[in-house]
Amino acid sequence: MKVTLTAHDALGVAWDAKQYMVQPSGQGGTGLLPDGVRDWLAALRLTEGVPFQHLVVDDRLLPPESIRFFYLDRNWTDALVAGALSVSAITTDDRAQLQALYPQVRDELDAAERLVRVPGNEVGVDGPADVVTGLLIRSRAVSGWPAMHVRAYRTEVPDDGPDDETSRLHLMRLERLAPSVLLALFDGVPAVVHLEEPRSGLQFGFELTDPQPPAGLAYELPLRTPGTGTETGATVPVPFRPGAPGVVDLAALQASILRAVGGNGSGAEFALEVLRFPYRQVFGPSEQDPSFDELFQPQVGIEQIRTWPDYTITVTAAEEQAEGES
Amino acid sequence: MVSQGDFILHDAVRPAVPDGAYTLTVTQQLDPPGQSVDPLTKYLAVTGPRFTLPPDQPLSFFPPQNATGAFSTRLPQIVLQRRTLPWERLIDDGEPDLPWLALVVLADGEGQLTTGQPVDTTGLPDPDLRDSDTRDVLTVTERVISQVFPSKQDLPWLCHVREVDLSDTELALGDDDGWLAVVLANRLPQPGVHYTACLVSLEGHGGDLPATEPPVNFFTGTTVYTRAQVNAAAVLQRQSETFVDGTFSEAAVSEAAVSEAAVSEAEPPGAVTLVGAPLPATKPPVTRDAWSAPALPGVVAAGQQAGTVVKGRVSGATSVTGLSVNQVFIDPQARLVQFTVLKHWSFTCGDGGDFESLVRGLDDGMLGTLPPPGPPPTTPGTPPGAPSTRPDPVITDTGHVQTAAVSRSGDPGQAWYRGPFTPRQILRAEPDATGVLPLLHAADQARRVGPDGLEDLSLATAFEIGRLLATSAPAVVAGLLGWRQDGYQPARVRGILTVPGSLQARLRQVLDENRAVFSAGVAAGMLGSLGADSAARLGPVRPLAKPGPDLGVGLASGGDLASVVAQGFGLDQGQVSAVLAAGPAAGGLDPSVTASQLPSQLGELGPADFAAARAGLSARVTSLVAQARLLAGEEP
Repeated sequence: MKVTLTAHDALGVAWDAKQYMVQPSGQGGTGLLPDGVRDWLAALRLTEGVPFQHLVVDDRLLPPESIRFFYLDRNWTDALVAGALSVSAITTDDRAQLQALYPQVRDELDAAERLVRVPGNEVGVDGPADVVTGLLIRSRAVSGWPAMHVRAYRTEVPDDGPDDETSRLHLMRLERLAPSVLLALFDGVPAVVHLEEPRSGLQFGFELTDPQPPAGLAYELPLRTPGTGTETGATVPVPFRPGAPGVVDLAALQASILRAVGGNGSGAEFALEVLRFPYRQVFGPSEQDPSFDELFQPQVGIEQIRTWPDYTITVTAAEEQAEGES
Repeated sequence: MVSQGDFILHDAVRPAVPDGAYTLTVTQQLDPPGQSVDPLTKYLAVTGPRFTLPPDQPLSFFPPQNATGAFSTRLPQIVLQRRTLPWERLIDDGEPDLPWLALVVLADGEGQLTTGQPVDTTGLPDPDLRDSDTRDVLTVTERVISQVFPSKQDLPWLCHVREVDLSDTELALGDDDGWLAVVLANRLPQPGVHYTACLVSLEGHGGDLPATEPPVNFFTGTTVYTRAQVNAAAVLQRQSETFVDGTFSEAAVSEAAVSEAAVSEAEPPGAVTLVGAPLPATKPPVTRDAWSAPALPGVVAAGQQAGTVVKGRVSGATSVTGLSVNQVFIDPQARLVQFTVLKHWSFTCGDGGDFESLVRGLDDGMLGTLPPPGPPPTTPGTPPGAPSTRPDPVITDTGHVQTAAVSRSGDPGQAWYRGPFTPRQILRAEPDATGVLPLLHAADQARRVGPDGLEDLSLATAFEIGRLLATSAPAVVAGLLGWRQDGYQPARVRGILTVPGSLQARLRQVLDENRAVFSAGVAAGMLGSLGADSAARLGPVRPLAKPGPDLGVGLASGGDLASVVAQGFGLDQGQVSAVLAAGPAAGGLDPSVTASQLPSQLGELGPADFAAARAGLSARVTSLVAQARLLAGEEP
């Protein structure tokens, strides 16, 4: 059969298609900037694409096996955006227009930068800008455990408790800049930061018996209650194959677990007992809360800067703040 | 569906039909009896990975590949993408429920791993069902099997299936459905030992697996063979490789002497049984050429396996890494068993370096804190670095760092720089009382002189980086320019239009009607109010088309219309003249209807205006119906 397209069909399709047509940039959309430009500038605000030596100017500021916390300097990122916007301004007239629009552009980017990274299970929240903080890790833990979880909380949360959704800060950027360097940016000032072993590769394992028997190496297994998974506090010794180099007799282990805690002897209950939960490292307030001076020890203190000849010329906001804190 | 942060463990996910060749026979009973249909026999094969593992199957390894760390409290494991994979084949027919894959962890020298061997299906069912012509082979002695390989009773506990939530992980591990099969090893790695983990196929090896013995609660040794035994075997293997014309080469003999000395140092005398036992379990091959005379029987036995690619290396006389030692040299009497290896990787168990010790040991502080003085912490396996001779960077309380800079005049010097990450919170510049927010237009605007007279280039650098990043992205440049054209210019024109006047009013109307196609609108509005012929006043008018050379046939060269048309289309000039003389009526147009008579609004149209169209349509319908009848074979 010959398929024909009538004018009626064509008109109908065109009419339907009209609502999907892209509005001309600068109008019809939700904001002042074209969508593509806004998204790009918002990602630029989160230092995406900025060469690493301009983020951390000296390698000794991020030595191997270290974690460093920081604030994001919004003046710096604003200057970054101003540089990008200057590409569009050709004449003096353009610059005057851009200057007039700039407060609006900045507010729009403040809202957009929070929506750059919104994973499927989160709801993006926009709104006026908050303080952005972050951390940099350079460690073999980053390269060896590639799916490490990084979470920050506005208030202190129990170390081993469930995830507190309301207190958790939105993660604005989480990226490995190098195989062993991880950058995270948080929307707000965290009280605690959790680094957690990736759950995808959870392992089965035991603990070394303490003290060790004189005859050789021994391991034990802390027991959990079947059904609830809470630790009972009791342990069973791990049975090994006689004469073998550290080979676990799993069938015997399962039998001894069954004798100790009961249950239905299924493989799932066995796994519940033998599974080691992921390790979670908490960075947060400790018993002896260190003062800021212990966390950051500059070579040139503010007192010394004040003695410099032209000190009164530029009292930056940072210095005011440093003065306020010290 | 698994909720975020949870995962579900399953004992096993068994395929409905294990891999293998099947015969499907269909017979049919008919009613009433007496009728019959021939039975149908079809052959089908269920295939899957058998001698190699497709590269997309292994999703993750623990311990990580080539890693060094404290893995001594965790069982090694491999995660496979296909949930049914460990149960797709049978070890042997008597064991329908056991997985056919096992993860075996071997220390150096406890086996020989050879790659690229021809597939050997002797004794296996369905020998023709093979996914590869070559395989990797692990050769081990019975002693290693009895000590390290899992027993049949262990096997059910070594494989399970996990159902995880994929949105919870950053990388999702490349899996598609969140169902993963996990194969565990049964051996706890011990510090200071280098291991190779091999995912082996147990198909046809049901009889080789060890029987269970009463367990004990501790163990003593960390390897099956002592280091000295492995080293001595490696030396013998080297000798067999340098063995020429029935005598050892001088180098090999001296090397053997050295290594025996090394062995006797490492082990108390009498503890090592060096090879040289009279009867190898594997008979030497009969076909030998006249040039080689048998020396050590073990050497010959190794010779017949020569030509294989050795995985690992034997360096010097005293170190063996990986599974490179021919097992014949370690235990000439032993029966050797060959297993197919589907995947293998190696790791080293050390004292520190698991996730917990790594993140616990992180040096924390605000950015700008220098590492603690003294040599940097050495990591296992790397030599300690030389103490740095560089002076420490100068960092101020505000987070600025002094860096080397060359001024524009070429003088080397220093400058302050502070990146976007600062140890203190920086107050952001806000609009002043009049609502004006300073905007940089050039990088030089942001250059500052610090209190000590050095330049502060932080924001100037930021501006320049932003400008360069934007210009390096053509889409962004195009987007920004388009934004300027669509946004700024109409705004600018609107500013002009605040001056009252008729032209301005017309332009404003056009602008309001269609802002998006503003330039076209402005042009139309201008032409509309000025008059088309006055457009010349705006500037020189470009000709619509460039006139071509005179060909001598057109009206311009003197011909009349009828002759030009007739000549051009190859028509009879008389007929063309007649048609032209008759006017528009001859073409089917009603000459009485002129354009000015047509109503300008659709609402003014009456039924009479459609009479011609209706007549034309009905004529068309009639002709279509006639054609349809013709096509249908009807007589008109």
